[in-house]
Amino acid sequence: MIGLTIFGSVQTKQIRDSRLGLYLMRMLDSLHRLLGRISCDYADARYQRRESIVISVAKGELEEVVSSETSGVGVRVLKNGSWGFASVNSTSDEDLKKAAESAERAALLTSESRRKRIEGLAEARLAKGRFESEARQPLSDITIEEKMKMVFETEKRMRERSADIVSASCSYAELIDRKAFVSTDGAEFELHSSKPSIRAVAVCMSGSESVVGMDAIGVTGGWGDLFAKRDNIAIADRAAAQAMRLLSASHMKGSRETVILNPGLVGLISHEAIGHTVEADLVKSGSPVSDKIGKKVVSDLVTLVDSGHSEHRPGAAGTLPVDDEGVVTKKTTIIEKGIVKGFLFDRENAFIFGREPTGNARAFEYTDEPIVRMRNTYIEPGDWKLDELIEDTKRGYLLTGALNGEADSDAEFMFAVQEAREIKDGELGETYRGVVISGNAFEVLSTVDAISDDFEWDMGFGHCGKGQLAKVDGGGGHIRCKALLGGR
Amino acid sequence: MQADILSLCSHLVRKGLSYGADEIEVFSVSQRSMDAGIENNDVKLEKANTGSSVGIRVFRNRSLGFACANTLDRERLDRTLRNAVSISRNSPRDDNNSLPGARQSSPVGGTYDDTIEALDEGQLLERALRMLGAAKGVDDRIVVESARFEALVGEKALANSSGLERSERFTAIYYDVTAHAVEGPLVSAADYRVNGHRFLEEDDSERTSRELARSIVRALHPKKLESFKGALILSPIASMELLVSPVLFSVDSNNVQKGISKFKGMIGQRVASPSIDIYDDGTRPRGLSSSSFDREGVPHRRLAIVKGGMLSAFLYDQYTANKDSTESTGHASGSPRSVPSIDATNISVEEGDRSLQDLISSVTRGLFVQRFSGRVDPVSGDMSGVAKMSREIVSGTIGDVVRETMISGNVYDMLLRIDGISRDRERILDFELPYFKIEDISITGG
Repeated sequence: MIGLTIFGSVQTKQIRDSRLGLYLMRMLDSLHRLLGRISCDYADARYQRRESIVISVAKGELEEVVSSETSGVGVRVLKNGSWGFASVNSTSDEDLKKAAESAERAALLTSESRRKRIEGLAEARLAKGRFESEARQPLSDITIEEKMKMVFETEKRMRERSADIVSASCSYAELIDRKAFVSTDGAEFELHSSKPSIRAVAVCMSGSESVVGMDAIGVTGGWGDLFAKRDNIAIADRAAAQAMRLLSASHMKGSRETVILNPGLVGLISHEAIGHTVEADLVKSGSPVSDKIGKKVVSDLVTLVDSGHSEHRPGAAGTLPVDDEGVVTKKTTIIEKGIVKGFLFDRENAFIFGREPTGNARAFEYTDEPIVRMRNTYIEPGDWKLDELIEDTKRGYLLTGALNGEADSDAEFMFAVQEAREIKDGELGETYRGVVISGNAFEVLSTVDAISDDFEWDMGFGHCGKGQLAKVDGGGGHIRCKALLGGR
Repeated sequence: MQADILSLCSHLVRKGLSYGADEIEVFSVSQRSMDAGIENNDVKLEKANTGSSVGIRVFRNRSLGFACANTLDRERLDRTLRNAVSISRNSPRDDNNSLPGARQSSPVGGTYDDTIEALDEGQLLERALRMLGAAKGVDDRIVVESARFEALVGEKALANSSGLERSERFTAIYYDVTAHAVEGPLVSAADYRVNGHRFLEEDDSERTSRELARSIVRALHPKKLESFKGALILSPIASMELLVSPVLFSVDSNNVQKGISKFKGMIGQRVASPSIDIYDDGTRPRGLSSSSFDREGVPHRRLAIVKGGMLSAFLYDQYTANKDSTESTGHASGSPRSVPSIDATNISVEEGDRSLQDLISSVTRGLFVQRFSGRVDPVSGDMSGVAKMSREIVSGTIGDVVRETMISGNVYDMLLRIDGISRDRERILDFELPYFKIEDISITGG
């Protein structure tokens, strides 16, 4: 009998759906048999069954209700120093055999054209056992009718807050994953995780101009975890209140300013503008930090971390106990007190760099091969109180929430900000909308002179894209720094 | 094979009616894909996927239920069907829920190329390697972060309880390349290109890689720019994001009905400069989004969206058409994994009467914008962001690449102020777009 690991703590527990537990165990046997037939340097096989629900309501009407179930197996083969991968939406022995042969053929073929062969995979602490995400009120205990009711209620609440709110929408999404994984070098695990999320959007019109207020939460856990911070009514109220504030907001002129970034923006810069530059596959191709291990790149107040766990606050959406190569995840310090300490690795790149795998190899669906991805990326909190931080700021802006944007491989970033409040002589003043923050993340984080202690995860709704999706999270306290703000 | 998935769809339609659905639609796609990937100037991986998806939409007392699964297994699909019917019992009634009836249509040619079906793994890898070689051939400082060449072969089928039964085979190739340049400690900004075609002979991936590499090398030493007001020349890639996407948002009848479209109530009114004609055409031979039928089985057609700068049509699916008491324009879109939503098919902005060189020569001071990265609010039209890989234009001559240059304004206002359209056009995925010139834009240097 293998023990069951609950994310964050280890204990023995019966898998909730024992029929499924049996199925996963049989799946493990089947994957073992499959790998036994392949002649290779290394191979792994990953069965994934995903159940998802999406419910969207706008202006009182049901826009979408989708219940989806997908399952299949992805097989990865390393042969003659090269990879091949194949996936199939079946678990029949015949289809799995065909997929394995296809992956083996692809590995042989690509090995002939490779300039540098893969010499090996780094040793790692490989997972054995069952892993299940801790969930207050498992999603399967809440009926789809109750979920629909909650979405309707949230959307209606926003429209009821003010006649100025002309349109509102609310969407709920959940992913419930069950995985079975085996590798030829001994990893063998079953994983059960659930990740629900909710987003509320309120729209006001200012003349012909629309103004959007938004609140969103995404977690790893159950229904109770999703609403642990605030319930759906509070989510609706926050989105509506923001839309109302922005309705009377002005547009600002572009200039370089002192800014206080909220945890959502801290997470976004940590992830998009810094995190991607330390993913080992990108480091290899010439990231601005490729040669910066041991060197100071940002303010010594900044300690930046990527973790498979959910430090400081529970339920971060990118939490995973084991990655899709079977490596047990851990907390990886990327920058410690301003100095670059490490990168994010899969097993292939860890071998090349002579480092230990960090558990960052992730695949979104069974059709995806594992690649280097982040998990929960954050800046360690400081010891300031947010109030003190604002009081201490003579002139600047408090920036809250990100709408969209992008970052380049050179850490240049541009993010549209939901809301900017002016700070004058330590007091919050006028609200601005349509603000864009940009700069080079390393330069911006070099100007950090204060970080607050109010840590939050704040980007668990939605996904990161890198050829394939990944559920990630990010956050921190509030940080004060200098950046270029754009307006209209 | 086509008959197989179509007959499965028809079988599920009959079964769904027996489970209590008033109306039912079953949409299925079976496909096989292969792609060869490059990473960091080297071969990374070749992969293959075989799969099928079935999406089942039911209406019961005009209430929606939808469920999907990635299988053709009848037992699993029976569970999916029961799930869809069960959801419809608990969702609210909406009188606009209905499925389209069978309409006369003729198949659209040019959706399938047997040379793509015949491609093997080796040929696919060769094309990916040629993309790498083309980029590196331009300049050795180029680092191809990633490149991918994908071939897709599939068939789709749709049946509904109004007697509509359709199926079609399709093929496509897609390629993308992302690269930057390294010169000693200097790392340039990265840039990317993407394209796709229905036919293998249209593969333009090597030229695409070469052009990307040239653009990146020029950006190794970007110049700092002071702020000024001047003209923008938008490349087809930049105008896709900046101008065309907001137009498509605003002609989506769902957004019109929600009251978030700038074009609400503006049919017949001016929305762009008089020289602008925009067409959507899901029947264009070999168009990447061409197909004989949309996600609800309705035939596609050529539709003028903007003619002479005047708004001439909105895009409808069956639901929004019911709401406005009109007919679907055949713009239901999406995969079997989601309920249909509205989307354009192949979009073309008709060519202008000036050469690109002529447009550039007419600029006293301005910016040639290769790509835009930033916020475009399609509701208000407000936009603000960074012009990427962009070049300064002074006295009609195109100059150096500039860095961190922000542009801002309102896209609906910009559409009305377009004062130059090039004859030259580029086809990117399912867009065919010219270069645009717009005067008097705020350009903020970093």
